[in-house]
Amino acid sequence: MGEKRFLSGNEAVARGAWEAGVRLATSYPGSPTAQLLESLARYPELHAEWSTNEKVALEVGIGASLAGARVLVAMKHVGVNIASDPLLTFSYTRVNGGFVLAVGDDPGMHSSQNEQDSRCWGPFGFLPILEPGDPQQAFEMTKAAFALSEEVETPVLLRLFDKTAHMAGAVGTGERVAPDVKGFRPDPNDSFMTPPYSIGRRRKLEDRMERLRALAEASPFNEVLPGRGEIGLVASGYVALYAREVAAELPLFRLGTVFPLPLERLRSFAREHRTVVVVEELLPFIEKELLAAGIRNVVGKALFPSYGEITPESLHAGLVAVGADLLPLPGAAPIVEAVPRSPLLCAGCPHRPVLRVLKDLKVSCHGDIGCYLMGAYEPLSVFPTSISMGASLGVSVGMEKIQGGPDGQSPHKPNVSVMGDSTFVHSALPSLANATYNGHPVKLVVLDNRATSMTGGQENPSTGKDIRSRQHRRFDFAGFARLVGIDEVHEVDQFRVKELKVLLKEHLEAPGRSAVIVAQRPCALKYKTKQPPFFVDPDVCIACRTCLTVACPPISMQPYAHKPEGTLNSFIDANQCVGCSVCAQFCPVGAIQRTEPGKEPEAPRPVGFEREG
Amino acid sequence: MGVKNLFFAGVGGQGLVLSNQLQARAALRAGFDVKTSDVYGLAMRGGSVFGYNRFGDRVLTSTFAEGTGDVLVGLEPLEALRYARLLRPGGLAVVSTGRIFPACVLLGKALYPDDSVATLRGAGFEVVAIEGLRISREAGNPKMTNLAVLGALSLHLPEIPEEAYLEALRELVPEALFEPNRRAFELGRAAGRNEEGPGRGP
Repeated sequence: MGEKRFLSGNEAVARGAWEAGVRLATSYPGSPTAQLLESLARYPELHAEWSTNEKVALEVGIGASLAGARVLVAMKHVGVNIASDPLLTFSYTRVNGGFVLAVGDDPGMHSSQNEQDSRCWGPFGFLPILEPGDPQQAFEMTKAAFALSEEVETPVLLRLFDKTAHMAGAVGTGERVAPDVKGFRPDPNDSFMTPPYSIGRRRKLEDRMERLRALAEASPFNEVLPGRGEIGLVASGYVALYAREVAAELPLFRLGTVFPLPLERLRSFAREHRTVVVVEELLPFIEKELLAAGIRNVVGKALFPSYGEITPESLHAGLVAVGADLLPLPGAAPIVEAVPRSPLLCAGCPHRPVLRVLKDLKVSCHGDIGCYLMGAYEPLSVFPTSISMGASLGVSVGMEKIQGGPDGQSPHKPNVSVMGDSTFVHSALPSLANATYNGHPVKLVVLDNRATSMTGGQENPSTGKDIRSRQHRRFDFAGFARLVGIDEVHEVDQFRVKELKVLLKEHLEAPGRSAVIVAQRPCALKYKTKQPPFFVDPDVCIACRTCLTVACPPISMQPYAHKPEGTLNSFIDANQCVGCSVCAQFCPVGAIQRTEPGKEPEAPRPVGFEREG
Repeated sequence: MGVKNLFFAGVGGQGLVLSNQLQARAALRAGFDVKTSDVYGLAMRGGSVFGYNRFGDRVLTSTFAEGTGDVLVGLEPLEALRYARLLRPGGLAVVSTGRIFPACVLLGKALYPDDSVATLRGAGFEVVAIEGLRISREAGNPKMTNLAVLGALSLHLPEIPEEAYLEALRELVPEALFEPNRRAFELGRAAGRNEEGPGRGP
């Protein structure tokens, strides 16, 4: 083993892919795998790019693999839904350059709209799936996945989780050994997937699955860790590590290949134990495979939750319930009540004034995937719907069709779609063309903040910079809207709140007319917005609480010593304020003013905040 | 030694991931096996964020059960309260006292808890409380509460030499930011010590 490095799961996969000689890597950023491509892009020997969406990422990867180069494509679980069109047919082909698709699942929905189980792509798409448990294994499995891909001529799915992608540990690394690019083999029997060729390939998948099953039986990633007693555990990935921590005395079949499973080895394991307990998150995938293989002494989901993450506590409880003799866990320390803290738009966020203005309009807004989804939370509460990337445009069109009636004139609030720059390019380009093609009135607000912010501020077509900050062409949102036939297209600086109000009111409240508004302030976090902070003069403040309705982290109501007891006035924490001015523009009495650079404001400070910090 | 369980709690934007990383790399330099995990994505936007950090001779996985934490590192007092359930009885909490109000408090729908440090002490935990924000300003930049708290924490992990933290800092922080970060760390380390006993909080 070479040098030890401290790597996260994402970084370990990147390192493994680099060592395996990857020449091209693509991704659309999504938690938990957003950092994977960023790590890979640090290696100069390969081409890395942010794709506009996961389908394109996969297709570019397919091209490079067909040309005989090793390829890694990374995405979050829901990204595979979009990429599944090419993926499920690519899997029919005879893969040339090793192809690994790294997928990040998110049980518990830390950063996702659902918690679909990516193992389903295995049987659905004839795809082998490897599942590492810690960074060392993530590194080793990535290298092994490339070898497997070329040996069996199949794409290989590497399944990560929030817990494995973000778990960091020491990894023994090696050197890069890049196989030569094999070159394209132009043979329709291998890669032209339309009948009759695809029918021929479909037959060959049976042989491929047979070989994969045999390889799973022999895989060193599947191992039995010894223990005592009549209960045997079956688990994969990091859940297997939990199992080892919580119940070290129980024998454990630790799986690395979750599809296809090493069923014969599992059958022998089951024979040796009275009860086999399958510990798995989400669907009863392994459990059902075992039952279908005629292994009867299996229990799984009867003991563990079907959704969310498995925790050491739920794992322990399930094992005790099935009769395992485990020491009790100490249990939670005396619970101290803590009020919740939900995510909040950052101080200076350019989405804030747009969402705040939308709240006052007579429109019905539909949200999308990005930081602005926080507009669904109090006090903004402008979004009753959010489905998937770019969906708000189609959703608003469909709702408009029904609510407006056949002629669009039935009384109703016009439907408005609100989405970010990256989301728009990702999935809404066809929706906008669809709307104009079908003559739908369409109202869209594009929040162009020049970053894919939710996942860490990645570059995207709105900046025109690639992952290595080289400048290419910037996407022209207004130009695209005009091109597909929208006449009313307006760009606005949303920090001029008055202009913003007039513009949005005029174009969004009018029924039956189309408009695209592009709001253009950059992300405060990525571009580090910082101007002298604002402060509240409590003697001008009328305690109307309008400033609270912009939902900005530094603004709260506080008691002031010189004001009547029991009254509260507004206060801005200068440590958090970045000086965007939006709250001041909403204040009806001018109580919020900018601090002069380098000066402390003379206004009195509230009780408990007598000094800065 | 066995495994020591640390838990970092804070608010998105406080630099919790960096303090967790520095702790991990310092422990590695001191010869320990380490596993950590952090949250990314949605919660980072002003939400409640946390990180696990475990070090010892051999560490299997990054997380641990409630009631088994040795040290709770709170970059913000409400977040320290929230995750106190992870601490073992009598465990240590190293907490910065600078408050950051959550949305429900900003909107006047809930009250910010009165005295988190006293509450934690009342629950039987050892508490080291430092003024992270003041220390951070003194070191030259109000955004270094994470380093001040790490400094205070480091004093209570004698198995990891101070030099290991500074080397980790040199490894992870750009040259230009090293000095202010080091100062915040040192001031935090000094504040973690106090007259009532070896490092047992003001």
